[in-house]
Amino acid sequence: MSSTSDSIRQVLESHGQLPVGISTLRNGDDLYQNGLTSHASVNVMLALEDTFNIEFPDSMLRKSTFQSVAAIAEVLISLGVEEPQH
Amino acid sequence: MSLALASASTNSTPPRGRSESRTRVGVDVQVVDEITVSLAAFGERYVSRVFNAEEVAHVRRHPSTAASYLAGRFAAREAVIKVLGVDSALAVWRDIDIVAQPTTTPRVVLIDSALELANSLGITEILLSLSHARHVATAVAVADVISTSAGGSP
Repeated sequence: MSSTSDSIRQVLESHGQLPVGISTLRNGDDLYQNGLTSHASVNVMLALEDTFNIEFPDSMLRKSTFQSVAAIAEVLISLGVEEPQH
Repeated sequence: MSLALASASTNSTPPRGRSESRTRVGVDVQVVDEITVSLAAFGERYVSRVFNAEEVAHVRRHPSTAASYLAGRFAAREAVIKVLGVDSALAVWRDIDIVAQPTTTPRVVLIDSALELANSLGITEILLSLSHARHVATAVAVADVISTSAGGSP
């Protein structure tokens, strides 16, 4: 079973339109500095909602929420997403 | 694609008691194909989450030109967001209306949080210019920021 970070990375790979491979980025690396655009971040948000069966509240729809894999994971945890048990 | 907010001062050292005028500029370019991909992947959920009721209705009436139209609207909001200098929160995003005009370029109407933000910055009006090409839409937003410096008579 993949971890939350792995699932986030799969979403970024499919919808982030990053000019660099997501595998080259660490969880704390800034996604905007690595090419994530405002529009692509909307797609990432929608794909994360589908993947984790959640809905981002308006208060979390800001640039900092999607700043890094780690930042996204932290927000998902706050929305009740649990790390899969191995 | 996005470009940074530019802010230029036209009168950086006003005399005491005089108003200072600064100009804030925001610019954005949106690739139409990216909108097409989003429409294919997320459909109406994408449109209704990002755009307002008027824009959703426009897309329903004109599906064949939806991607180009939405690219312009997205670029316009991003340009305004850069003028306001905010963290691109969608909450503020939805408080920016781009209102179609019959004969001129669309007008920017701010409500609620976006209006409060503009007021706090001394912005009373944001002018917008939009341009569409086959593959991209681009927008430039400009606002004068008026602040009155404290002080006695010169």
